[in-house]
Amino acid sequence: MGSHSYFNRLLFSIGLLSLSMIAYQLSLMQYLSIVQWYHFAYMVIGIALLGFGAAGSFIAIFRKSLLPIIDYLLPLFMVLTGIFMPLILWLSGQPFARFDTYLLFVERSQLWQLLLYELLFFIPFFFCALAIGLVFVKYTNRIGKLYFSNLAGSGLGGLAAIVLFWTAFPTQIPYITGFLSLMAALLIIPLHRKRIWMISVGITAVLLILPAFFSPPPLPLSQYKSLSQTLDLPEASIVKSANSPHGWVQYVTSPVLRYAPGLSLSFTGEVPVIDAVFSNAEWAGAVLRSPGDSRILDYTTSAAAWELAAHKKVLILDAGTGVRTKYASLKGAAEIDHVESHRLVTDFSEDQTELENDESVTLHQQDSRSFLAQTEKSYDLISLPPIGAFGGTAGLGALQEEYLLTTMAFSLIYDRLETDGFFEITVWLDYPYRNPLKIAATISETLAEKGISHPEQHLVSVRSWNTLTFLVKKTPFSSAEVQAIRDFCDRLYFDPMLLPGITSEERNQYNMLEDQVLFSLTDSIISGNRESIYETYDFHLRPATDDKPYFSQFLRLKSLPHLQEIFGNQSASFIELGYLIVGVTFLQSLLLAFVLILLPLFRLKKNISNKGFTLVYFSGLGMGFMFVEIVLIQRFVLYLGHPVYSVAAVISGMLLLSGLGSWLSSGLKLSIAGIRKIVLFIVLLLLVYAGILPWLLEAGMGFSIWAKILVSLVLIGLPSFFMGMPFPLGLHFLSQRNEEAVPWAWGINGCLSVVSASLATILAIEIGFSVLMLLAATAYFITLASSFLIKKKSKTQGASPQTMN
Amino acid sequence: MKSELLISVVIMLFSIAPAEQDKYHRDRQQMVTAQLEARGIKHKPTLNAMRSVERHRLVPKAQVEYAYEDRPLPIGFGQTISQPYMVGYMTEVIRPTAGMKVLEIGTGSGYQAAVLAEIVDEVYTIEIVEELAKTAKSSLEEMGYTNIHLKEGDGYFGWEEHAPYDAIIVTAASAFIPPLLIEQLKEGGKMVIPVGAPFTTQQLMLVEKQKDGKRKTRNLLPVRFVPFTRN
Repeated sequence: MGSHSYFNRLLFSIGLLSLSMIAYQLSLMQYLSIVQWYHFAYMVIGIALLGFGAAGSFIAIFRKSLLPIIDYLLPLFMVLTGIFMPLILWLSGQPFARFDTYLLFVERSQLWQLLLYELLFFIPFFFCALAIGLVFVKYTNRIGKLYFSNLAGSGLGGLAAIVLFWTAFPTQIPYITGFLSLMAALLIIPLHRKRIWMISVGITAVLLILPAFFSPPPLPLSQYKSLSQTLDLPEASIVKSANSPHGWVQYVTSPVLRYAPGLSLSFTGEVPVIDAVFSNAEWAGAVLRSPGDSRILDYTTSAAAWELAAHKKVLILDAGTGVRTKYASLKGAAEIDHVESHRLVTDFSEDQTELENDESVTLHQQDSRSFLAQTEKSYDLISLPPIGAFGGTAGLGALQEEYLLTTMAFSLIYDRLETDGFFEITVWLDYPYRNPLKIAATISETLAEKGISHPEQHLVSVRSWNTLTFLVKKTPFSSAEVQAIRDFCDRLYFDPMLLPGITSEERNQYNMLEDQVLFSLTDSIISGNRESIYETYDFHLRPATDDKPYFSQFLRLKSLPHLQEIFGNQSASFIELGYLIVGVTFLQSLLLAFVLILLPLFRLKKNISNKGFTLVYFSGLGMGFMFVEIVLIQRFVLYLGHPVYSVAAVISGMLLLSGLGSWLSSGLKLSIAGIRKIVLFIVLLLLVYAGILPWLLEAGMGFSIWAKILVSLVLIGLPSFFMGMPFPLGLHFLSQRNEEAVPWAWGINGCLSVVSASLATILAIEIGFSVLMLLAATAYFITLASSFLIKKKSKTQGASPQTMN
Repeated sequence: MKSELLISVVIMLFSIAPAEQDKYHRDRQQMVTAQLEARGIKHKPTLNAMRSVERHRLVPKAQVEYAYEDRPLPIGFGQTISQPYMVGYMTEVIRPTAGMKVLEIGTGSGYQAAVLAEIVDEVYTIEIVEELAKTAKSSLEEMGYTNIHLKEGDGYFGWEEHAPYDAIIVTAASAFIPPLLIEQLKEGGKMVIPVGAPFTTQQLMLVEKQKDGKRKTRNLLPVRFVPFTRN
């Protein structure tokens, strides 16, 4: 058991187990994004940490019983991890466990279903953490190497997840990660029962792999996802599907699918039948079956830009399935830059769109912000993707980072326009009004920043019964252009909403609104009276920035009672469901963390000395580490161009480099004063990051992807390396004074990490990333301060309390 | 003694069903009073229709106890049965009377069709989801409606054989108004389109086909949002 060879196998085993766990965690985030919505991705981080915290508490209470049989328990827990990874996925799709986001505020039982959902997903993390935790408790004198193995494996898990996203179906991945956990168990099976263990584990491994490849379980999608509703249509079928880090993509056909957003009532022709592409079961775009089909856009408000000029150089951002690109080509544009980062969306629609064969089109497979940072071209027209959806999205986009809709993005777009160039953006009308007002505010602030003193001369918008298109021009609209817009509107039964010299009668001629609220608020925003609107309106209208890129987050908690009074308790929830869900998961994670982690530990209180230090030191570390992780994830979404790459890079990078730091720390002979110096350095580094990280990332936006990966490793790795040190150093310090406090410390750390995952998400939305980074620095400062709470050892305890080793 | 007990049990069982029906009847009357009349629905035929239509027979079994509550309910396939107030509001907007012929695109539960059928001569309703069409058809037939004509199909084409219509209700969420539906609407007729995310309808679009050929829309707000302002 204590042999060198066994310890080396143990190191590999822990590394492999950790790799499988992180890959599983990332795959769960994708899985929940597919069957439900994006929010639950952050819930997964909390659930994983809950598993670790609860395991710590379990070990703390039962350690005397567990340690003597660790030889059997370690492989057993790893086997259970491997079995439960796919089993839980299957169970969560069964009727008794299924839960639906949309029903959360409709049926009270759904709140319990969500709680059950969280408890189910908690199980594999719990068993994994039991295995890792027992090893830490048993081998505290070699904790640095073990911690390194754990974190190095976790780091590689991120890379493994990216590979798996490209090569496996979403429900196959848990079987693969489960298989890896079984392999981890095989490395450390007890020698005197080797044959039985090998046979059992081998059979289990085979049973896991077979279903994964021959019959992966179907995805139990919410009935409210657009893919579910499309598949209910007659003769709807999935022609092809594939997975990627960007999302699980499907190409669907049906003879009844049609596309004509905000079609004019003057149109009397045939609306073309289309195919559709979905990403993570949400609508990603229409695929026009023939080039001429895009003529339907002539009868939508988005055609307004083409009424004014024959644009030659056109940029299509977040181009999706190429509908706007084909339209621009049809209208005679000579140079069209089609920018889309989701490779599968482009590939899937290419058969129909044939954009690669269109000489006027250049395809750019990258995210739009990187493209804007790199290109030096100027354009006659820049087209942004439509915002919102017909009927609204119930606020389910609230947590989605939308870096193309920030003031910085609009500023970049404006700078890429030719002298007489336009940019255009179409918005689905929502009620109460949010999207159009926030876009108006974003445009106004951009024009103000560019020194435009009469924004109303540079801005036109055209309204149909359900869409609104804004056109922004660098130079004032000419009288000929203004007349062209009036003629366009008359012909197609649209109404101008913003137009130089507009009258109130013109605004409400064909698509009459019951009140003037939309007009008066938009006028106030454009005229510069924005601040009072931001302060008083019931929804959050202040434009998104790169520091707070949540364009679709409109909820103001203090307005909720007013909205409930007007719309009723239930309906108000559906106005901004997304943010409310984060609140629900935060409260549930708080409850679960208290019950599963803290409550059991109260039995151990009397055996622990230096409670104050233990509580504050490890709380601060848990909170600080998680806040930094969330901020880095958010910042690198912009830098690396997609949330999945960012999550994988940050989680892997942080775990790998902090693992390296913890390993090196095991060789340091540090006094408490030494630990204080390390923590102080972390505090100062985070303060610097709060200020300069955004600037550094912006400066590097135009780099190639490989340069970006290198820069990311450095920027993520630097603080992580040092942040990896205080935890094992603190555990080692505690183990020398009071070994029974070790699992208690681990549990406290786990509890605060769980709660901080959801809390950090809420704080990021409310206060922005820079302030959140400052809070992380504060958390580490509190950790530093806690070292002054350490009680000196009494003389009967021997050695000086301030030295270790 | 045993036979007396048996007779008592049988009598009890037979009285449960009528008692339950009385409860639904009471709930329905209460619904009309508290949710429709109290919110300004005045059109008498609409109110009478909603007092008559047994909404609880058109919702899934799991939702029956909530049938008369002031909220929409899930009916499967990502669809809902609208909040009673919304149904009343939409019905009142089109001002149905005897002699009218109405087309509905998106039968869903069949409740809107049943309410209309209490007032107008003929209701033609189209549902594209097969299961929903079957369930609604079966429920409406059981309830005895003979003037509701339901077909499973694509509402994009309307129902040309019975056009033109005095009114068209388009409850199926669609990002555009099919041109054929406008063609099948009588001049001076009204088309109503509820707009909103699942479980909530924030606004209604009223489409009017004018005699001069022009088409106009009017945005109606069943619930008027008044922004909070200071001072």
